[in-house]
Order: sequence, then structure tokens, then C-alpha cells
Amino acid sequence: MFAFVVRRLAWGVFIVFGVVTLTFVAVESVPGNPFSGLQSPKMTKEAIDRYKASWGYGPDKTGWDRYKIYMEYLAKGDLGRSVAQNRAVSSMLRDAIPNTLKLTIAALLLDLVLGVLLGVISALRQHTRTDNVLTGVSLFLYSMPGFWLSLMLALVFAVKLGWLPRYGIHSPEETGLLDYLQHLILPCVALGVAAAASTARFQRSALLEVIRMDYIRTARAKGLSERTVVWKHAMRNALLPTITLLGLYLPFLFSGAIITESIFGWPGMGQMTIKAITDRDVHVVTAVTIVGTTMVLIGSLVADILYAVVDPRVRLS
Amino acid sequence: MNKAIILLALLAACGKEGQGGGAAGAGGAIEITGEMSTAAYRDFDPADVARGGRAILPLLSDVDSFNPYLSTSVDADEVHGLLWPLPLQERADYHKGPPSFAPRLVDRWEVKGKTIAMHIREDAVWSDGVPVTSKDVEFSARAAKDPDVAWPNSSILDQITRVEIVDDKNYLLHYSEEYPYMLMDSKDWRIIPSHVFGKIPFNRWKGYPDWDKVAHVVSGPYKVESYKHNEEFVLVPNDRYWDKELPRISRVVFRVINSQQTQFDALLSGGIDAMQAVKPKDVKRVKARSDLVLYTFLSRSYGYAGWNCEHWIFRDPEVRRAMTLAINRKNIVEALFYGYAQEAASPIISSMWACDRSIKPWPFDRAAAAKILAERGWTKGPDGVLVKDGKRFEFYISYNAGNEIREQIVQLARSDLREIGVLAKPRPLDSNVLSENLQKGEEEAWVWGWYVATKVDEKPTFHSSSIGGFNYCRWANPRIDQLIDTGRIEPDLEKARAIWKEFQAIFHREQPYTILYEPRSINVAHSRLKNVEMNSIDIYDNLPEWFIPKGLQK
Repeated sequence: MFAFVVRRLAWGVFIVFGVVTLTFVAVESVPGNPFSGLQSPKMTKEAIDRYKASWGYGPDKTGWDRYKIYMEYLAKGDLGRSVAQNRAVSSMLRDAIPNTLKLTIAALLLDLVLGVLLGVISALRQHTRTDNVLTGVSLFLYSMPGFWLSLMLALVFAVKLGWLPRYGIHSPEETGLLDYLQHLILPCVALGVAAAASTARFQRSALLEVIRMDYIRTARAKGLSERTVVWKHAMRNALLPTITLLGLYLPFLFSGAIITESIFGWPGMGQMTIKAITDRDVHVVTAVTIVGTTMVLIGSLVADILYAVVDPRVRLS
Repeated sequence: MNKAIILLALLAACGKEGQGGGAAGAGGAIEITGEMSTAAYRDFDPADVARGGRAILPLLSDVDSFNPYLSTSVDADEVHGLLWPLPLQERADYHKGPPSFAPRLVDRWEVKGKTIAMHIREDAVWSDGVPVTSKDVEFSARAAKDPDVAWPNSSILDQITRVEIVDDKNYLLHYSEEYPYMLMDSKDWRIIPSHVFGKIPFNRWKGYPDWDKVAHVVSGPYKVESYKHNEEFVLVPNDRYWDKELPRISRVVFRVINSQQTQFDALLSGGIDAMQAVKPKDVKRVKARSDLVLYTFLSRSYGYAGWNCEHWIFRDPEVRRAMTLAINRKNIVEALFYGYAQEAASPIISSMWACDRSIKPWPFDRAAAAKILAERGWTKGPDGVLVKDGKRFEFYISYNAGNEIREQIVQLARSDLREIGVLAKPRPLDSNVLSENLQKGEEEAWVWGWYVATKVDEKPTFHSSSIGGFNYCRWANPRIDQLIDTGRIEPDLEKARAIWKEFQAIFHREQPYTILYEPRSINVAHSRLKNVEMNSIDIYDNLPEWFIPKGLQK
């Protein structure tokens, strides 16, 4: 397994390099630049040009020059500086990543617990009213656009009912856990519920498939309780597709958080990414891509490893 | 009691010439109105004035730097004003002439030819106890002009050749020439503590990570107590501020809320205590609330439709005038701004002293527009679109995507123009892309807006030398260049007024822009915040004087 992990990580470095290059080229190629906000009648063209030059956008500098300088920074472990926020990108990531991770992990847990539970109930009560209701609700939640669900949750539970905070990760000058959890609920539900709906559908199909297999019939014939049959024997195999999905969900949740974070004012990677793209803040966009790519690579690696752990027949080589 | 008395007092207080204003409200939110500022809503007894309490205010974006010379954000500038007040504070009285000034860090000044002598108030001390001196002024001027710092507003100091330190509290500003805005240019850069900021060489300023910690050393009413990037920062009173009565609110929390809609939701749900730039369509919801107070005044801005004067269609001034005649601007003001805007005719806004108020907006007159175009050789094609020399009267009209009002303006203008056979095709663009295209002259027509300075200077937007810069319409008129060159430096007010009058007459005739509206600035504060005044110069200018009565403090 060790050799497998090392090989995958080595490939990962090449993939990240390729993605960084593509992202840098893409941001540099699209029209616009990070300085369009400088539109004050007090500013002369010369002063603006001087300001641009101080950020490496002088008239003698091309995108290629900026790419070379950026790669030199990157080789030294420096992720560059944000023009819009006038700040080291590494410091911005240090603030944003923990916030996004907390949100996405909470959403992932909600997805897993709720999705698996609903999927199992649905499968065990196939073709009953419970199954029909759960299927309908799942499809409804799954087909709802994330931004709409977020806005509706905010409107109902924060603005109309006033039960939960509307934005941010804390109330002003608060740092307590309870206050944090209150702020976490709405974005976590917005992000996790739609994913749970999809997980429930997968879990239902997987369990239905497994539950008809011979070894389950044998287990039942041996006189094992239904709980043992389902949770100990059937679920071990029925969880495999869900685990694969979860590995892939990590980056999905990360990208889904872009909208959710913006709507709930959650100061994480999502909010940072939207602003950076709007501002053409190339170092920030590239750094976010590095983090995103790394998460995809780690997510799929973890899924592969979990496969081997759950199913002894799978061998990593 | 006394609502009637309060209203009367208010109307009397607001009735000073040029200040205009009044209050209205029947059961819901009170609305305090003014021309360029609002008077305070004095619904309190002077005995209620108290210190303490907490106000929560929103910011659309995080402070990009706590070093004013590295910051380019307007939001940040408003916060910097509470930490490092300007030497002089501009008053919102630019309707009669160039604005006058109130003392702040500087309490006495005298203009003598090409020199201004300034005196720093004796009791001005940095929050660490070190006196504010002329050395700090000289240091700040050097920072503002330094090429490594590259402050984008550095042109404010272009005419200041030298800062001469006379003694600790007196300094002289030497100018290269005498001009009417010398005093304005003497104060538009913040004085920062040389003994703190000077420890870091200018060439290392950009990479310095801890400006928020340096911001503890301030001369203003507040200092930064804590700061969390992209979340919030807390201002607390600076005990060494020269006015010992101020500030009154003991904690001001600025929360970063990136969306106007979220800010508005937070205002309604009590998450924040005040908000700027409320959308006109949301005023109705504010007015339904008796715990909120509306403050509205004419914003220093205008919205316009721009025509690329180098484009083959819009090269002809008469065609541009036809565009203006064909667009129903009154409808835009009424349908989209719900009365919180007015029609306008000039890029010199109506509240500015140099505005020629005798020039009225061109009327909405479709027949006149169609007649002009017919006279210029445009005839109806088979599909109703005008044609000339085999080419159709069609063009793209761009706007910044996501700007709801501009999108609606474009739709209204499009349907108005379609009535006379002109095909305007809306094109939403990322504002980044649009501004770059405009500088390059790659747009045919567009809807945009300008926020204007109180200094009347049309050079950046209409001088031919600014083509490639902010002269987006690429209007090149030698007489206009002449008028701008003389008007911007003419010291005699009446002569300057005459110059700008001619400028506006030519503008009105040639219509490089169709001026669409002048909006009102709509701001809201919770009624527990007392003594709130707002003006078009600095929205938080009197924040140190706001207070929360003891019983309403949280």
C-alpha cells in the first residue's frame, strides 16, 4: 500500500503543476485586470500606471513574465500576494481553509448520516408509503438548486422566524462554541441536505442489490436477527458505492460551498474564490486551485484506501 | 408629544440655505432628508446624551490595508477617517462655491500666495502618547509620493513641491503654482505617525503583513482593538483623542458582509445597526418599521448612457442628441428609483456650485428624435430598423453584469429606442472587462455612473488628453479642452462659473453622454442611535458624536 500511496502522490505533484499552469494562463487570458476598481477622478493615469507596475503589471511586463515570477515564488513555497486584499495569499488561506473545512466536514457528516439512514429505511421498506415519501422528498431536495435552498433557509429561519443567525461564523465579539454551532446550522443544512438526498438514493439501490444476494439469504437461514443481517452483513457491501461517492464528494462539497459561503457570509474558500475571480486576483485564484486539486487527489486516494479496508478482496497495487 | 414639535424643530434646523431637508413618517420609519447632508434627528433630550453602548456597522469588503497609503478601497477610507482624521474636514457646502473646511488635526491655516501655513492643534497626540508634529506631516507627504509605495491618489500632491517644517506644530506647504484648490489638496492625505510607520522602509511596505497591529497608534477618536480578517474588527475610544467628550459610543464593531442584500436582511433582523446605500425598492420595507430612521440626500454621483464619439453612428452630435430625446429618463427615475433620483442635464451635478441650473434636461420627445435621424439620412428598413448607406442603426449597449438597476435601465432604453427604429442590443459584461474595454474605446454604447469629487475638474472624463483613460466616450473638442484647462485653475469664482457654464452648454448641445439621473443616497440607522447626521462628503464624519441612551445600550 505504501508504494501505491507514494506513486499516487508523485503523480499528484505533476497534476497540480499542470493545473496551476492552466489556471494561471486562463486568468491572464480573460479580459480584465485586478485594477479596474481604480476609477477615481482624483487618480491620474500616471499614478495608476505606477501602482500597476508596483504589482508587476507594468507596460514592460507580460503574462509570461508574471508566470515565471510566480513559479519562482511557488518553488520557494510562497503562494504570492493578493492585489485586491494587499495581503500574502498563504495568510488568506490560513484563515479561510479551516472555516471551509469545518463547514464541509459538518455537511459531509450530515450527508453521510442522513443519506445512509434514509437510504436504508427506504430500501427496507421498498414500495411502501414510507419509501414513496422518502423517494419524493429526496428527489425534491436533490433537484433544488443550492443557491435557492440557501436563500429559502435564510429567509425562513433567519429573517422571518429569527431563530438562527443570517450570516457570518460568529455573532459580534462572540467566540463561544454554541454561538458558532448556531451559525453553522443553516449553511451546513444547505450544503449537506441536497447531498444527503443523493446519497440516500445511492444507498437505497446498493442495499436493495445486496439484500437479494445469496449470502444474505444464508445469513437469514442461519437464524441471525434482521438487524445483524442488515447492518453487519449487507451494509458492509452496500456501503462501498457510498464510500466512493464520499471520496468524490469532498471536492464537490468544496465547490458547492462557493455559493453557500457567499450567501451566508461564511469567510471561507468559497467567498474568497468568488472575490478573487471577480477581481482577477491571479495569485489567489491559482492558490485556491492548488488547494482544490489537492483535495480532489486526496479525496480519491482516501476513497481507494477505504475500499481496501472495507472490502478485503480489493488489493492496492 | 412631541412628534409635531420635533418635526417643526427639525424642519427649522434643516431650513438653512442649501441644506434643505425635512422629515416625514407616519407610524413607520422617520425619513430625514437634505440636499447634500441631513441634519441630526433630534428626538432626544440633551440630558440623554450618554457614553457607552455598542454599534454594529457593515462593510461590503474587508479593509484592504490599515496603512492608508496602501489602501485603494472606499470602505477602508471611511474606517481610516475614524483612526487618522484629515488635517481639515471638507464641509458639504459645495453648492455656493468650492467647499469650506472645518478644523480637525489642523486648527489654523493661512493661504499666502503659493504657500499655505498650517498649525497642528496643540493637544493632538498619538494614542501612544507621542505628540503629533510637523515631522509626521512631512513623513506622510513623502510616503504619499514615494514610487515604492505607489499610492494611486498621489497626484493630489503633484503641485506640492515641499513640506517645510517650521517647528513641532507649524509647517508650510509650498506649491508650484497658485490655484483654487490648494487648500483641498493640502488635506486629502492622512497624517500617519512617523515614529511607527517610519520603522518600516517604504520599499518593504507592500509586503509588510502587520499593518493592523500598527493601526493601534492613531490620532482619531477610535483605535483598533481587535481584527479578524474578512469577519469583523472592533474600534474602541482612543483615550488620548483631543476632544475629551468624544467619542460617545464605546464599541463600534464593523462586520464584513459582502452582499447588499445580506446587509439589508441583517438590518431588518437586528444584526446590524445601520446601513448605507439601501436600494430604492427596499425603502418601502424600511418605512414600515418604526425602529428605523431613513437619512437621504443627493449623492455626489450621476448615471449616464455613454456614446462612443469615434463610432461611425455616434460621431454625429445630432444623432447623440436624438438618442437623448428618445430615452424616457423620467420613466427611469420613477420606475426604478421610486422617486429617489432626479433627472439631470450636466456632468457637473446639480448640487455643485458650478452647475448651470438654467440648462434643463432635453425633453422626452420621440417625434423630434425621429425627425433628427430622418434629416441625417436614416430611413426605415424592411424590418423597421433604420438604415443608412446600407448599414443598419444597431449597436451593443453594455453594462456591468449583476447591476440590477443598470440592467433595467438598458432594457427600458432599448425599448424606447426600438420605437424610433434603433436597435440597441444589451450586453452584460463583467465590470472588470467593461472598464478595460471602455478605456480601449472598444464599446459602442454603455450605461455607467460616476462618483464625482467636490473639486470641479472635468479633465479626467472629457479632456481629449484623457482618451485612453477615463474619457470613455472619446470626446475630443478643442474648445472643451481649452475650457477645462482654464476652468480647473481659474481662481476667480465668477470667471470659473462662466467657463463651466460654457462647458455645460457645449456638453448639452453635443451630448457625448445622455445624463440619465442623479440618485439620492439612501441610508438607514436604528432609532436607538441618536444624533446621527449624514453627508455626501464623509458618511461617518459625525459618528464620534452618535450616542445610545443608557436605557437602550446593549
